[in-house]
Amino acid sequence: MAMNNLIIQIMISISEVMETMFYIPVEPRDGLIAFEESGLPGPDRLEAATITFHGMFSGTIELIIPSSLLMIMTENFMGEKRQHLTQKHLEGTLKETLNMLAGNTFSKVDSQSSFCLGVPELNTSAIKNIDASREHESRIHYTAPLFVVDTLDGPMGIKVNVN
Amino acid sequence: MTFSILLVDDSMPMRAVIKKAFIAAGYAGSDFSEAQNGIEALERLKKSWIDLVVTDFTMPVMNGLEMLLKMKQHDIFKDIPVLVVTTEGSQEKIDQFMNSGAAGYIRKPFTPEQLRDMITNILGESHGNEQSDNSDNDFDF
Repeated sequence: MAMNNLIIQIMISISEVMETMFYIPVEPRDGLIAFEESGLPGPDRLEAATITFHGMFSGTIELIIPSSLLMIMTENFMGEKRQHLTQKHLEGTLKETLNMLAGNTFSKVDSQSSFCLGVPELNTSAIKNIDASREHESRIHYTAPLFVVDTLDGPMGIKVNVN
Repeated sequence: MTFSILLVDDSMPMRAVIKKAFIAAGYAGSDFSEAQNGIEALERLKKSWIDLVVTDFTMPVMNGLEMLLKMKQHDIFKDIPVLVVTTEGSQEKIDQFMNSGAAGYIRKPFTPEQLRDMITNILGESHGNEQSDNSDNDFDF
């Protein structure tokens, strides 16, 4: 029950965050989607970050965005042309997006109780590390089903883990 | 009228977005300073006068609430308006900020219009006087 409500609020929140801060409308798909059917590119062209939460229930939210979509989001967010953007801008935008998504979600789940949010952490080392064993790990990691929202510039993935 | 505005957020893109919103709201001539956490912000306050502090809540080293409480204990900084721009969803945390003397808060995500209205409200109501010159004052804690 709590998980269902959390997912509903995440989907509402991702729409609000993407449309308000990035001017990008999104269309959530129903239910969990197999990674192969998500339309997401391979792990080497994905950026991801995770945030922890603690409260009535605890867990993590992971946001997975294709690098090309993250570039568009960062351009819209900062009002800068892509040639002026650095990896730090992209990473900062990814972390801030997840931060806003989580904060907005938990204000809807229960605005009176105190959910504590962690600091968003990048997962890029798990995705981009070219070391063979790490690459294998990341491929396993990114074959699991996930929630997907579509944009005109490609899909985004969301993974939710409640302990 | 121009202002000296301190933006406190560990997210560099968010500092840029807030600055952009200020400029769009008609404060383009203002002097913007930036800090990544509360400690850096308090250090910055000691250097020259700031008319408005805009801060995030969750930051490493020192969060926005701790910074606000430090400012309120200071003879000079206590009167500088502090606007909180936060992802914090809990009403309890927001109440903590407001009860500690914050001039206002905006939850992310926000529209440029929401931020502009809040800025205008605070700078108009809380700082209707000309810019202060406290360069001779002791800014130490």
